[in-house]
Amino acid sequence: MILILSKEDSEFSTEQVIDWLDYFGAAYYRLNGASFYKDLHFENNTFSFQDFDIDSVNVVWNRRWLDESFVLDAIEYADLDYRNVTELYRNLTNELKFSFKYFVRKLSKKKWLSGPNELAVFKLLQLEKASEVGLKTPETIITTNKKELEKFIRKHKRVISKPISEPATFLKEQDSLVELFGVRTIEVEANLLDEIEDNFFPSLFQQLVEKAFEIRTFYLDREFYSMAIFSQLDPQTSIDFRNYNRVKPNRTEPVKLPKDIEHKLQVLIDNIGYTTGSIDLVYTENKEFVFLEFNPVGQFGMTSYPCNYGLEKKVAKYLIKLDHGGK
Amino acid sequence: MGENKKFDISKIESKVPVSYRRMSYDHFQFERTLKNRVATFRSYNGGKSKCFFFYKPISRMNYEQEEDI
Repeated sequence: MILILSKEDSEFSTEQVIDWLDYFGAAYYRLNGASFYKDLHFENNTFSFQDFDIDSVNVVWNRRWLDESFVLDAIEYADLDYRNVTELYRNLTNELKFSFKYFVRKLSKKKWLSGPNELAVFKLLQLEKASEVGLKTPETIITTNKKELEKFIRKHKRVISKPISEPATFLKEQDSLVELFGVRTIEVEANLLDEIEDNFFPSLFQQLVEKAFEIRTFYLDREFYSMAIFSQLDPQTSIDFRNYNRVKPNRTEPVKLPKDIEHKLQVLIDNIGYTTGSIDLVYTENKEFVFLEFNPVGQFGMTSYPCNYGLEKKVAKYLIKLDHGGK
Repeated sequence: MGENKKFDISKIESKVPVSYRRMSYDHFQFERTLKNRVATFRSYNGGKSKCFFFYKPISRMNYEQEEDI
């Protein structure tokens, strides 16, 4: 049986794969993080579930598990000062995390697509390992010092800043109106540099790679499915295509990476121990491929649909292959 | 707590990473439709997109028999 670890909403790619699992008549169970905790039954060092037997699981497909909203109700109504809010959040999150960790341990002998240690986007490690296998990477610094930043800008002319970990999104919701404030990739332009104090919170800076186009590559079962994204001509998307222009979306089309780039990516993936994910690359005006980052879990519909790759079907067939004893 | 306050970056700029100083902004009208399973985001920046919600581990084959949430 295939066990899908997922969360309740915003899991569109997971839904599409489940449609294919239904079509192929596969045995699967989707376990959402919120359902796991709401119906949790743990006794004698064993988790038990009403709808499936953990021993029947052959394959685990690890998507997303739980978002913060699960503990936000308690925090919202607790009416605490910020120190105690932080402590309450830390404690509740850890309570959930450690029961999940033990559950994962119980599944450790199963085959995994996206193992439990693969989910975080560990950019600094990825850049180091990518460089080791011969992929070009942008020069990167982390600093708290304006003089060091100015020196870096003098060297590279154009510099971006982006989160060391993952993007953050702050939300204001009132009735049906939703406002989103996102921490994404930005260019450090002169007017921004003027605003920055001599010392600041640790921040990541990277040389801006002048691009002919961006590439998003989905990796599965030693195959690469690549899409060119022509984001460079639109000011809204030129620094980061994820600042989506929904009125006039970027043009995209399928591309095939050169064999030597695919080989280096495969070695990188094997070295870090990833099983699937999406890779961001830039193709420069100097005809070079530059590695940016690897996202081990994400929605792959954005690559699948425009390029007609049918990735949802491929993921479903791969899960079934693993379930039937394949590698 | 309780009140959903607007995120005002200007008060904490020196206490957060530099990338916070040029946050992206988008705002949507959020309309739940189709048994509360699909929401449409109508963006004031232009365009619209759909988001799907599922609340328990069901097969999509059972989808049409579900009651409203």
